[in-house]
Amino acid sequence: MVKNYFKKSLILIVFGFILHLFFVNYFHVGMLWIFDRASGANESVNTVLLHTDTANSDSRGLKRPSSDIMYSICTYDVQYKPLVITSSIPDSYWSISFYSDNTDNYVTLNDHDIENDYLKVYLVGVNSEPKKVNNGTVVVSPSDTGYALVRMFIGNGENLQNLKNIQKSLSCVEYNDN
Amino acid sequence: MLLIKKYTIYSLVIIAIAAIFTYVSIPIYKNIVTIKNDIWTTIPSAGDPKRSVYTRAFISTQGLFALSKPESVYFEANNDIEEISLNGSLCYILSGNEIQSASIIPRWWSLTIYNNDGYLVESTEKQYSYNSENIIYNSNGEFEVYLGHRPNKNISNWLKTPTEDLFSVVLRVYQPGEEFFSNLSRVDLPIVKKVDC
Repeated sequence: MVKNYFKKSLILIVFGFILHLFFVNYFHVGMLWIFDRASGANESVNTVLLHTDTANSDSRGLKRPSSDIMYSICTYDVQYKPLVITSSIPDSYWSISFYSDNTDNYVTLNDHDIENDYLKVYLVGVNSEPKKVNNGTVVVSPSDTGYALVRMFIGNGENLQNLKNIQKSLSCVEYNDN
Repeated sequence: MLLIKKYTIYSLVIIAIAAIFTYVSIPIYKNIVTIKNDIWTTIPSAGDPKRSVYTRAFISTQGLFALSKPESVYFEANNDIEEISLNGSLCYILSGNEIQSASIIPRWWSLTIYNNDGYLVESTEKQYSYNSENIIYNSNGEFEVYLGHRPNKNISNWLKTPTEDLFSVVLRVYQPGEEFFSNLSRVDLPIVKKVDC
């Protein structure tokens, strides 16, 4: 009787542990789902999802927002067509970070990496490489969907209006190379 | 009917065990992978694609889109130098020197206070953080930030803390250089000391 009870408990714990591994592996999916619902990311793909002003105590889009950074986000789906991302670049810190659908940061380009103060990135999927590209950096996404997150350092705030203008210059559009 | 009831109970038990494993393991794993530097803890290259599933799960609870080496590193402090949790009912002074490793000065850094839920603390002054460009240094090249409910007339930099709640301080360091990353447990970082309010 005791042996049978022990055996059953052990089986339940083993199954529980396997399910736990599943939970951990897909934990980010739940968090992304909450983020997508809150930000509207599930309804606007291959476009600029949002530009944030400086974060404040009412900011609830993401946990631990930085009030020293202005953020912009493009959500993407490059399964069939690449995406072209363009933006002006300020003299201060600026970066664009690419995140795959499991939130891994697979590439980051910052203002020091970009020539002529102007960004042009062809974001391509594994199966959507364009036939030709003109004057730009090609970034290959390991997943069909993901996020491109732009960060701009505000510094002492003196250049805020210029940074806002630069923020508005960000564009994320599907690339047609036909 | 009895069989369905029996397997439903088994399923619920398995889900409960999985939830307990998850709830317990993520903080434990955090303690294993984090590097400690005095009051600060950090996960090196938090957004790295090579990170483990546990790191990814933990980072998901902290803000989803973390950067990786060499772009940025994040440090978090939940305790003062006495190893006591930072508490909004108390007052503290955060003090430090220029944040750097050897001769390499990071591109920029910032210090931000978050409430227990991970959001910015309500402040009518809208001052939620200080960064390397807007913090006011003392004449000796060091800086102090007063953490409390009301400003301190002797300290220029003030961050409002939450009322009677635990809080944390996050230090972001951008492009600190390879040497900084190699010495995450040893680089000179600010300290937080409890003081009388």
